[in-house]
Amino acid sequence: MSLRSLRQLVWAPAVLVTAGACLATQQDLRVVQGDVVAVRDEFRRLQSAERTRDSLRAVSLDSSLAQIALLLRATNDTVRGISTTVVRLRGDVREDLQNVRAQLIAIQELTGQSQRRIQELRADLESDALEKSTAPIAGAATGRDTARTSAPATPGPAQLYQMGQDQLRRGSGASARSAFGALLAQYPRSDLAADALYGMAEAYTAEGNATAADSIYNQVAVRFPTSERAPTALYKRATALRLAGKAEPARTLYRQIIQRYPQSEAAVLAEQFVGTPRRP
Amino acid sequence: MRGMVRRFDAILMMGLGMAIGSALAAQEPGVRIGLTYTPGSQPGIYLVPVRGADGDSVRRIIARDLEFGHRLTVIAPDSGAVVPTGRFNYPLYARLGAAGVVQLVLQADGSALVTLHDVVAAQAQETRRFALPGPRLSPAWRLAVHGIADVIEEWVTGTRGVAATRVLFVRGGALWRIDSDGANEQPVPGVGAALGPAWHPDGRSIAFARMRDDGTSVVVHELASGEERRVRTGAPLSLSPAFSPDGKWLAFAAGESGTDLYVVPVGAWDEPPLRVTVGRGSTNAQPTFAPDGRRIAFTTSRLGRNEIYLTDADGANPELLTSTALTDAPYRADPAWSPDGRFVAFSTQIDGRFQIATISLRDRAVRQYTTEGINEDPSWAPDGRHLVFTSSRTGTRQLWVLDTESGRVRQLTRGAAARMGAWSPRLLSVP
Repeated sequence: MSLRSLRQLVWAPAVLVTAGACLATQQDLRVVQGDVVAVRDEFRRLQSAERTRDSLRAVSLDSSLAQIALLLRATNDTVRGISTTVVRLRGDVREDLQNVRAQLIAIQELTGQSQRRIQELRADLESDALEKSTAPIAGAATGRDTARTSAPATPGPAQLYQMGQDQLRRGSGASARSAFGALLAQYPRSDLAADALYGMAEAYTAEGNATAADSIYNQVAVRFPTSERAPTALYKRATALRLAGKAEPARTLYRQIIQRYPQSEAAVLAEQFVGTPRRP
Repeated sequence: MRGMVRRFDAILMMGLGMAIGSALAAQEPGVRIGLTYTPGSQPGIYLVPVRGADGDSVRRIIARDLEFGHRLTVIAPDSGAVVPTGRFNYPLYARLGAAGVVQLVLQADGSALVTLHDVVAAQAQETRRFALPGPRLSPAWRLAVHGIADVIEEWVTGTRGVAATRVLFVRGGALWRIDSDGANEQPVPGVGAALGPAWHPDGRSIAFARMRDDGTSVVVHELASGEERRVRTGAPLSLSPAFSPDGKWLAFAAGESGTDLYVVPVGAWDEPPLRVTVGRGSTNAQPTFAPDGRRIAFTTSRLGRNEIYLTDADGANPELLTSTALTDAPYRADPAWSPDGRFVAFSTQIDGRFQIATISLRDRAVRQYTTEGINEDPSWAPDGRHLVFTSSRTGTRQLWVLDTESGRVRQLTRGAAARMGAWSPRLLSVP
């Protein structure tokens, strides 16, 4: 065997192996290639599945977001509704409070009117009583004797006050003062005494006697400080001073009204003369 | 001469003809007629026909004014055009039922010479020359003729008439004016939209509320110059102005959710107004002054319903005027204090409709004057006897004039709806 042959013999298994290897490699390559294709297909499938899942997830997310948006909108609407309700309720409460306030004012006014009406009724009753006490006794006139009458009676305080007010309305200051004076002289403890004294001051004012009026208004405030007439009497005094150009004494009186009778209407009116005048 | 007078008598009697027949028939024998005026009576007045181009117009205007005054009876106002010449035949006029005869002669210089004859005394009682300015039949000329009628009424009755006056009113949101006899109906130039007009006592300026985008404001307007001043109230709502009778103060309502009354010196429009009412959120509006200016009547909702209250002008002594029964709850508004101080006229709801009524300040007696339609916004004439008011009795709201003594009414405006009449003071010159 030649070297060449030997070489050939040596290389023969190698070639065979190589050839076999090559054959094996090609086969493997094919397998690998098949695997790669399979992997690639799998990858594509996976990618496709992932995409599907992503799109599904996106759809789900969108749906969730839409639901959240809806919920948010609903929440907003609810909040807005609650806010509107609160505002409305607040308005209703304010209106109710205003109504209550208006009703209170109306009740106060009606109470005042009732008191005046009661006063008038009292005057009427006193007048009736006076007439009955001075009228002839029934049947007496039929006899020969003249009618018997009771002792002369005097008008009651309400009647005297009403007379004074009537005279004041008629513009008869002197007659009004006379009636008010009789009330004060005969019934000094009457609950109409403050009103009568105030009425006297009003009568003097109507007659143009400002000095006498001022003096009587002062008496009202001094003698009946808890009367409703007291702040008004002080207000009248202050106003007379202000109109006479006596600004500082007027201001002092206005301040007194605000301090002593802060709840009175006179105090509200007085406020405009003590500080910086306020516009409506 | 005597024969001529007799012939004139015959002509005059024929001229008067049938028109005076009823007057003669109504004349009771033995009744004395004279120029001694008794309130409630209506003495007869004969207006002698007036010569000249405008004679008929003058006579017609004066006759109508005297009729509208309701104090005199104009005898045969439409009778013939026979003008007496020569001596006056007083017995003839006495037979016609005339207590007085008015003779008016138009002069070449445009004036009018007016004579009032006392028929009983058979002599001229009053004579006066009146200027008649401006072109004939112009507003100024007519006002001057109305002034003649007012003076004639004063000569006979002692009370000056109200013919020389005008009425402001609101039509279509704008301010209009009309003469007291219903003539010269026209918009007030330069004013435009306005509400609640009021006259200054001098008749030269007016006040009213003007609508703005954000509320209303009170405006004072000079009629001659058209100059305007807005009263600075500082409130979004300012309305229902009223001048005091001495012309020194302007009262009005101002506020936001509620309104109170305020007063401000006339001319001092930038000064802070003085508060008069303490409404505590209620509505207090429509002030009207007493003739002495010491008290104010106004509408208020402080009782929960609208009522008329009185208060001293300084805000003291507020008191309810209109209601005596606490159970009734009508709506009362639009107070107007009469020039004689005795009454406050107002609108009151009766069976759901507004009617015109007055309340006596002395005994609080209420008298209702209207029943037909819806009637509101009363405003007194300067004589304290006549009222102008808004009525829907014809279907549309128009101004009507009421004689409170006789209850007679006459329609003042016609055409488009009119309301919120405000009767002027006596106007001596055309503003």
